Amino acid sequence: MELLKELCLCPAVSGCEGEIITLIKNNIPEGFSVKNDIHGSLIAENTGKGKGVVFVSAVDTPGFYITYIDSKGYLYFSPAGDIEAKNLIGQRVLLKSGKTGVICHDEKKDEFFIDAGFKDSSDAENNAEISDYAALLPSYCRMEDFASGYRMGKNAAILAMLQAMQKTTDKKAYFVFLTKSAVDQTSFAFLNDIDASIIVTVEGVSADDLPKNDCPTIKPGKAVVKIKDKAMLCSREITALLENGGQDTQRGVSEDTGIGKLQREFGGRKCGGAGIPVRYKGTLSESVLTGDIHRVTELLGKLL
Amino acid sequence: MFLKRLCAAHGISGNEQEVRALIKEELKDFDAHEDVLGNLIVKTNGNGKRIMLAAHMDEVGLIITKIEDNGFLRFKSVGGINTEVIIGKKVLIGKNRVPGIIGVKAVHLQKEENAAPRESELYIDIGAVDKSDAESAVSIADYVAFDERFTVFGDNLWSAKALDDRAGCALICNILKKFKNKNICAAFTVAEEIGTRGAAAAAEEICPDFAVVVEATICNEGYGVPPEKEITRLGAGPALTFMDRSVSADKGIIDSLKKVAESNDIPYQMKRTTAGGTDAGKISRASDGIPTAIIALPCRNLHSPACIISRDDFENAERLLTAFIGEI
Repeated sequence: MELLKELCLCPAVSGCEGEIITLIKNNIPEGFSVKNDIHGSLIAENTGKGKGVVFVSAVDTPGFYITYIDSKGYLYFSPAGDIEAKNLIGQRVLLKSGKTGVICHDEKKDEFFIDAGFKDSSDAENNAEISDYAALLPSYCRMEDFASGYRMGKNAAILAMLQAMQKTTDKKAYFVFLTKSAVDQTSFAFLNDIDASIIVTVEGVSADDLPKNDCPTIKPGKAVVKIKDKAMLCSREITALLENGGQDTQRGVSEDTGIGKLQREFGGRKCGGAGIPVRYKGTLSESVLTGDIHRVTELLGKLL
Repeated sequence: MFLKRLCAAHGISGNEQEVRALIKEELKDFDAHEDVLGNLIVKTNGNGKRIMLAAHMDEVGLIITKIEDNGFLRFKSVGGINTEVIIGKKVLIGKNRVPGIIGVKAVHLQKEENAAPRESELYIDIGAVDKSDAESAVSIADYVAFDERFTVFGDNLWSAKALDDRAGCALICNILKKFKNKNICAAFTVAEEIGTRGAAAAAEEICPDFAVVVEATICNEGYGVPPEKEITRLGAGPALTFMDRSVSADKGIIDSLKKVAESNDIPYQMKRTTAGGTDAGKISRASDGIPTAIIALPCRNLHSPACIISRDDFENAERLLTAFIGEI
């Protein structure tokens, strides 16, 4: 779980995913060749043979970009992706320079800004510039058997992919870590060079086992086999492959993940999805049962 | 002046042929062809890295959707247009450029005095006495362009319709003439204003090493906008876009542009928002992915009949792109 913690503490605002991509790259097991596409996505490929299986996960999250530094050293910003400052008043952010700040709100003027404690504009300009990202402060904590933190669903999916890489055999396999998904700018051009029969997305899926919900559709404790999301209809064939083999799974429907579009690119591909149940998805405290990461790893292993 | 002629041409999205013909004529010494979608691709014959320069030929405008019994014309906008800025404006309709004026119910008769009129409440008056009189002059599906002349005013400012993005087209034409020895493919694209529909096809064909889009962008200074909400400032130099809704600009190109600007004393500014979108998005994701950046000209009243840009910004953008390409 140390790697999960490292992933959670790594900023990954859409468009600036370099740090997390490097971290992932450093944890790719031997036997894989690795390349980045123009947009920074990481594609790892083994030396196996035959038509390949492609596993895909997104690494980025919405965040902010600095757009103005005022004379007092306060920072103004613009969003990248589906994120609203009004829901984040008082939340801490991590600037590209490593400094931290707080999202503040001037109620009278209804303006949002970041206070990073800079003395004045020149102090601020030494530590931030227009176009720098401001990420919601990465966090990680354990709650009994759960791990909790911002972007936990995606990080758990990344970890499951990295663990599944250890299980590869002589079958051709690709593991793709996509950038810019939260701003809908993901490039699927990597599919141009891949001869694959199956594509499987790996992601966090919202769990709804709330205190007074006696019939949750998704709950921690089992890996999720996806049926569809807003952008993708999963192939029944792939669903059957994932569900066969004795592992107890649950079927799930999830929101648009930004990567489902790959099903319709380049003439269309058969896609399926594996998911890790995530409590409080989309919040700063996404929580996953750590055992579910291993369950999804096992699920992916069935296709290798 | 070529830009003046470009702005006078009608080129509502999907109907760019006048603009295309002007550019073709201006660049008649170059290898040029039109693709299936209508993009005009112009190439130099030099060697080295293949550079794609892109600007869109189309402009926002209107299209006739109904002719009323009383001869008034109903329309829909083509591209994003604020209805508040077009009331009372003169327009030219169809190939015959039939003059008309955009009308709305008189203010005295409106229920909500301050509400912006909906598009459905507006009409074009061509002075027809009835439907058949109007039908003798115009037809449903005729394109409607704003009738606004190119004007030089103030401190080196230019005003005209369609400066977005005829300014980019004119600038790229100038660049092509300077660099016949480089490997440049210019794409004058269609239908940018209705979903950047032409750019991807052009980029797939050109398949460049990198691309630079020359665009007009929002300039909202003045109007009581505080400095922290200014997106760009007129006269402060071309704006470099680091991210908008369509693209995360290539950091390598942006850094090079900044470096070139600083070493050549060319003023520039960063575009200070992540809003907006351009052809750059589709270009960057075409082929195997194309490193793409945007040089934007700050433009007041963007998408209106009277766009305003600064001649200084135009010339500095040209200097910046010239110096940048010169170093490649």
